[in-house]
Amino acid sequence: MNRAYTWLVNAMAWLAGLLMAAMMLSICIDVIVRNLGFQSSAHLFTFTEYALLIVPCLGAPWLVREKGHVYVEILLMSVNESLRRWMTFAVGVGCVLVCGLIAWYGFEVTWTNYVRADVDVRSMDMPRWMVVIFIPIGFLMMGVEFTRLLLKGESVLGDLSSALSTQKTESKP
Amino acid sequence: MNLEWYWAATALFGMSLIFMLVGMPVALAFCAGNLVAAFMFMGGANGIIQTVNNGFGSMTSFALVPIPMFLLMGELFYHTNLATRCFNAADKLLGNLPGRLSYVTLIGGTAFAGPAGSSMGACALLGSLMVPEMTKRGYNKYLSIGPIMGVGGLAVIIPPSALTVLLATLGQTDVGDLLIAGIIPGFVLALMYGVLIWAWTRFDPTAAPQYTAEPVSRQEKLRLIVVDVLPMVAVIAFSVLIMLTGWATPTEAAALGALSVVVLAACYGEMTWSAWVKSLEGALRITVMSFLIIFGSATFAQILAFTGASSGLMSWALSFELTPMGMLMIMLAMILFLGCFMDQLSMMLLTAPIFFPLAKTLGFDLTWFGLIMLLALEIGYTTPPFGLLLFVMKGVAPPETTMKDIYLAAMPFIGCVLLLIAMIIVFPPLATWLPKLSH
Repeated sequence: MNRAYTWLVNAMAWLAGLLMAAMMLSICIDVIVRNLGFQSSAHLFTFTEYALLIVPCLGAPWLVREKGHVYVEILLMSVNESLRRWMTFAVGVGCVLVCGLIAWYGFEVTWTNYVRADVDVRSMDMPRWMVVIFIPIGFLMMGVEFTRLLLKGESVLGDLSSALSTQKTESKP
Repeated sequence: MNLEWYWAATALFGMSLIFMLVGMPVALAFCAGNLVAAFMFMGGANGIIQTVNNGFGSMTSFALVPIPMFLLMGELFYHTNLATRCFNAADKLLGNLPGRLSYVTLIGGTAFAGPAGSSMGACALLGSLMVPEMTKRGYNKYLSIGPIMGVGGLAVIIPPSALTVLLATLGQTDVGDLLIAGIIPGFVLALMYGVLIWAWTRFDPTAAPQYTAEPVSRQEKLRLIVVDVLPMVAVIAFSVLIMLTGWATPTEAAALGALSVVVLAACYGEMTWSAWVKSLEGALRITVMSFLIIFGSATFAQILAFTGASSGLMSWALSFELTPMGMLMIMLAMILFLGCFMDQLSMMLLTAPIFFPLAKTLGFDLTWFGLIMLLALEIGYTTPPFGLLLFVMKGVAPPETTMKDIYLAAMPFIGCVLLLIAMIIVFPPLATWLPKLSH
């Protein structure tokens, strides 16, 4: 179960990465096709906009596990070890709460959109719930990741250097 | 709930700030502050539902597409070793120029930090890579640490820069204009840095002792320029030029720029699978973080407006009847203050929803104002005693480096950026001429 979930989080991050590459390609194709004098599909445009929402939502749980979030450490740095541990724990609980709240109400929005059959009108009429649902999923799984870290007794925050040097990390998604 | 605007403003800013200060991840601290405020001011649970809906709207906005693209471009540059090639080439081409390692740091740093427009990663990297080397060569700390602290100011304004895109989006001003506006000031700043290092080594030759660099033949130099430098410069120039001429939108320029790095890297045989994975991973990290913050900030601006806090704050600020210049100075001072404990992203999100409307009311050109704000954000980041970048530097510099060394080293370079801001204020066409030309 635990393993399967870890696998899922990784798979979502991979998918987010692929989507990002796909965004790049679709925009380039759009430009090239247009300049060759053909009419390019307006759906590419819409796809890119939706991808902007889907990519962060898919990648969010993974980023929590990687402890890749930046945070302000000025206060944490200036208190003693035991208080710091308590504060970090409290921060973790706070994060779980925030994620839980957004996930809960996010599902409510999704459900309302589904029941009312709301459409998001762009180049095509997209059922809104199909895109919105990524928000609660992303936040729910983020909350789960924060909880997992707390249960393992780990800090939810990375150490300063790992949060800063995005370019030096070697781990794979 | 019906409250005076100043309570609403205090609650909004105060809560986000407190959540941030206790160490909550910045993205979530924003969301948390907004959730509480939305609950208080926008009708309980409905407020939170509104937050989700706003987040959906603001995240799926086409103007934000250049952010992941520029980030991807930057990571590709780094992980395919193209940035390192530039760096090494600069090292060899500079020959026995006094203070050569300082110049190398500046050029290399700009190559590393450019597309993301963020100096944290570059500072960490260069601090651990270049400072030990320069210390070994007998460089004094001003010429070893200083240029690294200066890189950020350059990286944030020279396009491509993801941070610029975000600021323009937040300030609801033209993304392309703001990107283009940075070109000339960027060159001016680079020139100032160059003169600074040159003058320093001239008046105090011991600051950067001469050493005989490995001799490089003329033929080799030519090869370095043609093979290692020109193609990279061409890629960057290409993505800037297509934007400048109006042939492509910033979004398209960003995507084409990223693709051209892929093609270029493939030509060098560096486009390996692992480089791909690492680049996507790096870009994903910052993208996720930025967009979660954007998710929270959508509601932030809305609640500010809804509770009357923005208009309240604005009329309050205007009630002092300061000159527009005086107001500008106060805004800059606030950014410098916030820079003591926050990263640029958070600073932007807190200040932009108030500052841009204020700037508009004061009759400022928003592109001009945006550029000044970008520079101020970078200085705020580097200003003693608490600028965040100073601590990053402390973390990676050799252990015997003291905080005071870092302060003093950063000063002259901060001075250059301040001078540039003054120049842009006194002579606005520096920032506004090129964007106007491109229309």
